[in-house]
Amino acid sequence: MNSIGTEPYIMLSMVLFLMGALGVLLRRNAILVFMSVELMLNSANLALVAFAQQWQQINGHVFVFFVMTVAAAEVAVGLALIVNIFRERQSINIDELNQMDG
Amino acid sequence: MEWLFLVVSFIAVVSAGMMLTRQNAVHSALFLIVNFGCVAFLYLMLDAPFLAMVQVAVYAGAIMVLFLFVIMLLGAEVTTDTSGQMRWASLVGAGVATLILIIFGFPIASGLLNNDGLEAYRGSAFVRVINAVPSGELALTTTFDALEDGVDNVTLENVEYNDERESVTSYLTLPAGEYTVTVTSEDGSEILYNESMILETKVSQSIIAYSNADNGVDVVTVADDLSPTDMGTMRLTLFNTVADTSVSLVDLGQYSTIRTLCENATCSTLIPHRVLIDELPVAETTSIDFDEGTYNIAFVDENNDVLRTLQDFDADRGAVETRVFVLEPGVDGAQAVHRAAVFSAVASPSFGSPEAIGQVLFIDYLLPVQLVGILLLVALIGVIVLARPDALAQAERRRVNRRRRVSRPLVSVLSQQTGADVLSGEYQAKLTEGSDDDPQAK
Amino acid sequence: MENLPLLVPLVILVPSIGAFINFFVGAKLGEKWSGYIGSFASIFSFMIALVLLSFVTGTNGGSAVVNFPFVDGWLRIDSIGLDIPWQMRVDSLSVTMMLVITGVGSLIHLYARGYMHGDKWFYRFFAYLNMFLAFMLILVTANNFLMLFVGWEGVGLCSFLLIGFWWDKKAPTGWKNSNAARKAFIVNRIGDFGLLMAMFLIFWTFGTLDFFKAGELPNTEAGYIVHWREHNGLVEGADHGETDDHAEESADHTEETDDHAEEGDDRGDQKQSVLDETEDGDDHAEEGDAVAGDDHAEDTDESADTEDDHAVEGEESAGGHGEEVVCVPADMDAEHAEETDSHADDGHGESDVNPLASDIRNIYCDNGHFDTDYLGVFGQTVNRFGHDEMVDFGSFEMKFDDVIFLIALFMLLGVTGKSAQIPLFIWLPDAMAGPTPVSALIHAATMVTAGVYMMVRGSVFLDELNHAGYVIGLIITLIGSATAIMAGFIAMGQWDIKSVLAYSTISQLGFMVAAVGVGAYVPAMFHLVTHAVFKALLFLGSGSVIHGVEHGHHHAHEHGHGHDDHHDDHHEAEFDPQDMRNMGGLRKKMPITFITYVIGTLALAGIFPFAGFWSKDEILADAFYVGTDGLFAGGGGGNQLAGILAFGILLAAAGFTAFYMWRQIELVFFGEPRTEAAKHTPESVGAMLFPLVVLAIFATIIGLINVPAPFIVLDSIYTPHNFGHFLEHSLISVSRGHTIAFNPLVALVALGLGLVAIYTAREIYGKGKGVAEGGRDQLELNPSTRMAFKLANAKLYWDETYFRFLENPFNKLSKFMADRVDWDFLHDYVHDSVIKRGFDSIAKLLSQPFDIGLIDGAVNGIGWLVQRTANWMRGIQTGNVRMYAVILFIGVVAVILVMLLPFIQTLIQSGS
Repeated sequence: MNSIGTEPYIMLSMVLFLMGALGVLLRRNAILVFMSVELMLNSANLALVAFAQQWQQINGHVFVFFVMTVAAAEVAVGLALIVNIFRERQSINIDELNQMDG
Repeated sequence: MEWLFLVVSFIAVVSAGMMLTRQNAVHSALFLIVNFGCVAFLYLMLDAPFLAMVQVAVYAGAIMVLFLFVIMLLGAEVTTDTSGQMRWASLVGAGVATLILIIFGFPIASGLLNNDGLEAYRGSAFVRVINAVPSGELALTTTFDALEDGVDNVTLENVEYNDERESVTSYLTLPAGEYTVTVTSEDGSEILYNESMILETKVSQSIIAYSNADNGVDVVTVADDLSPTDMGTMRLTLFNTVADTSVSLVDLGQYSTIRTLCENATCSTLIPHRVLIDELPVAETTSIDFDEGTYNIAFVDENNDVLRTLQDFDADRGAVETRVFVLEPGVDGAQAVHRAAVFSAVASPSFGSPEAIGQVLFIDYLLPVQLVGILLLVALIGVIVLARPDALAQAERRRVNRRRRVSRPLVSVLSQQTGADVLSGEYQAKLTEGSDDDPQAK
Repeated sequence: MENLPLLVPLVILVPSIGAFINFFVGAKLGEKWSGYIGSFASIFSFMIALVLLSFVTGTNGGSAVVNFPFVDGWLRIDSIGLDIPWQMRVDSLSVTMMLVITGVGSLIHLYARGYMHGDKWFYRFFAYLNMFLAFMLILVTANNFLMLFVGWEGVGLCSFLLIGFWWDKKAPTGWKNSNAARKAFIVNRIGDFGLLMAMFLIFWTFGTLDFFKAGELPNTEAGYIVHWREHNGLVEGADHGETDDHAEESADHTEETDDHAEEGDDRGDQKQSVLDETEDGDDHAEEGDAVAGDDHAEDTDESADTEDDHAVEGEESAGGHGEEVVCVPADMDAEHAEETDSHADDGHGESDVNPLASDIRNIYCDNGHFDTDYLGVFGQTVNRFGHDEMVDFGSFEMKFDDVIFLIALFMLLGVTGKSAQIPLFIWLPDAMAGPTPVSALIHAATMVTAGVYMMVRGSVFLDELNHAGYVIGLIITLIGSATAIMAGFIAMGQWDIKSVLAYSTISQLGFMVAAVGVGAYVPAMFHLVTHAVFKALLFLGSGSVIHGVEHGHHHAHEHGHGHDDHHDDHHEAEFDPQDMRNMGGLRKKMPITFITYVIGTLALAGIFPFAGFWSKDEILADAFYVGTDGLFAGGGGGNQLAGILAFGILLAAAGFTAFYMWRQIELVFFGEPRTEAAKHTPESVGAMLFPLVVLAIFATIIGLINVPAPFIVLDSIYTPHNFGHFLEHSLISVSRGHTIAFNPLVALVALGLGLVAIYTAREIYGKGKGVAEGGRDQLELNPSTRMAFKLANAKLYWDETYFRFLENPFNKLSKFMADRVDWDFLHDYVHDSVIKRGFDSIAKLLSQPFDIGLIDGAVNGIGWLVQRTANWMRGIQTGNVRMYAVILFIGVVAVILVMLLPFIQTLIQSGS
């Protein structure tokens, strides 16, 4: 068992998650936003692993595995999108990506 | 280990904060890599070595590299200033985040989240039936009647005695709980064992049937220790079924064929040996660990008579063996022979090890693995498609090098249909080249 | 014999049918036949009445309750126990009335054939006459008050129709006629109110309106052992053998009484009684018999020997008709009663049946075997009176005796209306506007006597009240006497020939009513009978005179002026053939009329031996007796004051009567004709003279039906008090207190007074004096009598007083209510101003601020609200991705919070 218990890891996970959320909300650079998303996913992974360790269930690791995989795929596709957008508009400032307004 | 955690987590938080606040995107990426590294370290602290390595390799190694590539490609290292619109947002966001942190974090941190009231996780229990009746004429039928509703009854049939390694029965995975176990002879005429048994989560048990002193059959339940062995050791579990004999297991060193440990008749001195198990009574079990290597071990009774010798006993690292010491009756008037029937098992992989993950991944989650693979494939294709060079830029370059290939009437038709002046500007180039190229999504 | 009462419905039906025929096809039938039909119907009814008379006398006063055929009950509401059947009563009283009505009525029908000859509505007249007869007969044959009331109202209606018969004459005569008709109807109505109230009280108190139930004996005094002459009817059934056992038969006869004996359970008896052919195969007549038999069983000692056998006096009758059998009081055992059997007269039954055998316990002499609740009104009264019983009216209680007093008072009100007493007599003089036969029939013979009949029928009430000391007798006597003398006074000053007779009628009715008041019921009825005869005679005679004068008038004009023969308003307005001043000396012109008229006058004046002498004298004698001795022996009678008052006043009235009648004779027949018309008056046709003669004969001899005893020699020739005994079977009080002996003093005084009055009249008006010059009466010449004459001529200003104090204020009030209250106030003010304006303002209030302002505003406001909200919400979509993300994030946080809310709550509770 873990000597310090699971709670610190969860706290850390929460902190990282919130920081990632803040990054998503506050940064205008699309790539920065993406990186914040990665941070959020990472924090979730951390929580998963912590709980897996607490309960001695290997399934948590498996889930983390999948998350990482999906995150990788997502990053790839997202960055490709960003590249495309940049080609179009010469800018990746998300404030300027506002064709969808009412 | 707390200080280690605090340090690492501190670095992680700091690096995350730095990542968020840098103007330079490359700096942010690098800080994120640091953060990933810290998380990998934390994985190690959480008994997940495999994941730690995967984290480093995939996240820090692949994803962030990709990020950096794209950043550099786009030249987006320097971003413009924040517009006035959302200046206050960061403060507000910070405040909200802090609030949420407090709301969610307080109960967690104060230790109110205890698991006392939480319902126990009901996992699977493992149980096997070992037929250690050496007469070889008895085949066992075991029935596991679940006492709880919703759990099916399982019947294990035709378990025979076999002293070869094939007589290992694989473990039966049952939902944990209480069962009524009934062991009967093959035709069910004789009920040998009818007890209720509690099968606990992730606990492996063996039900061993052996012949007792009265030539009857006794059935006993023994818990198996399948936990990962210590590094480079093998675990041997011995179960003594020979009546009236307390057997000892000794390491004979280089001696392999001796009949007795006594050097002289009076047994005042014994040949040098190493006692591994000392006087195991009937219907008792014990476990010892062997370092990796080859041994000559022997089963010795109280009188220091060697009952059985195992030459060149290989102790494989990470193996778990269960041997049942039986007295086989002689066949056709032959004399009874002692045997140490082998029922080996496989030690469960250590938690967080690649074997563990691999086992689960490819046995229980095979389908999701394949699907994710497909997903990756699709993502790959998608990225390729998305990231293709812009046809317009290409067309610009090619236009410089090529003549016009589209006739004027076609151009006029095209212009009519699109409503644009085909012959002017970029569109002209687009359309003239567009007729040559594959249709591209715009 | 016992079945004869079954004929009584015919009495009603035949005149009704005659009326119907005349109504619907009379026009086509023509004068002759409609006249025949009408007269025939009346004569037929008279025959039936004679048959019924034979029944009553044959059964020695038997009575019967007869159900009308084809009619099962009349008013029946079982849930409240209301059962008023259309039932008829045949007993001596009703037979008396029937005879009078149909007899006089038939003569009048015959007279009318002549009188109304040439009238345009001839058939309608006879239809009305027949209808009147029918209703009057309903009245007198009724066995319950409601049926009586039907007849009461019906004759009121017919009087309206008949008085106003000539309503279509040119104004003002037509209006005069219709006004008179309406006056009669309306004034009658006031009296009807009294009768109705009496009926309500009767029904409330007694639970029934029936006079007598089937099988009930009118004489209900328990304890009397009366001798009973066995009636053949009882054993007759045995001979008919319609049931096996004769005894049962007889038992069946009086099964009525048997069943009655069973504590009056069977109201079914009533249904069975008499008339249902479809009943058990019993000889229903037996039922009637039974009823009759009971009545035989009662008193009637008479044992038909026709001698008086008064239970009270315990006289035994020895008689030729058969031996008497003692009837059994209810509490007596059959075996203890003496028994005989006899078959007497009709020789039907030969079997010797002991009617008092144990299986025939059916001869009673009282109603003690009936439960009081079963008895009719009169029987109940006898049983219940004087026992301090209280009658519960819901919110208050009243002593039974007081209730009877109240009933009697209300009935008296009805009588004053119908029988023209003070204060409701005012219609009768005006009613002379009708044709003379109408006056004769209605106002002399029949309708006005209905009131007296009702009083006599209800004599039980009066008797009990008088016995208990109530002053009802005094009241009635006062009213009657006052009426008598007042009317007599007025009659002395009238010029119209019919007016004199009208007031004479009122006066004579006053005699009857006063007689009832002192308890002399038989004399009242006797006087009713005699009065019917001679008053009809007088009216018909006057009609003859008028007819003649009219003819004479036309003759005179024809001869004299030679133009217009027609009955001309102009002429009629000028020449009143009814005014006695236009007559005179007619005795030579109309001798037969004259002779019959004189006979009638003498009868009315009470001169021996004409009818009026006997009846009027009897009244005076009874009044004198009551005034001096108090009560009749046996308990009947009025109080002394009433008696003495009645005697005095009636004596004076009798004097007036003789005076004004002879005045009339002098003015009309004697002297010289005063006008041309009188000179040329012809005698009337035979159709008119014939009834006059017949009536004159009757007027002479009818007094002999009730000769008092002892009277010189006549009482040995004619059964004394024959009529009295005859009525005794119907009137309990009569049997209680029988008629008194002859009082020669009173007779001589009355006779002398009459003669003196006649002589005085002759002195004043006779010897050729007639009318004084200037059309004034002889009495006017004398200053001392002038005022009296003027007063009498002005009819004592009754009509004017009524108008001044009643009609006019009422009219004014009505006008005020109509014009001011209803029209101005209600219509104009309340409706228009208050209601309409109020409604308008409310509507406006509702429409303007409410409907337009509130409701429209609300609805429009919703739309405006939606628009504003939509506008505001549109601003959410800024296109700013980051803002979207922020909102998303907040949403997620909120969702997580909500999901974790319970958990957080438990944490907070357990942690802090």
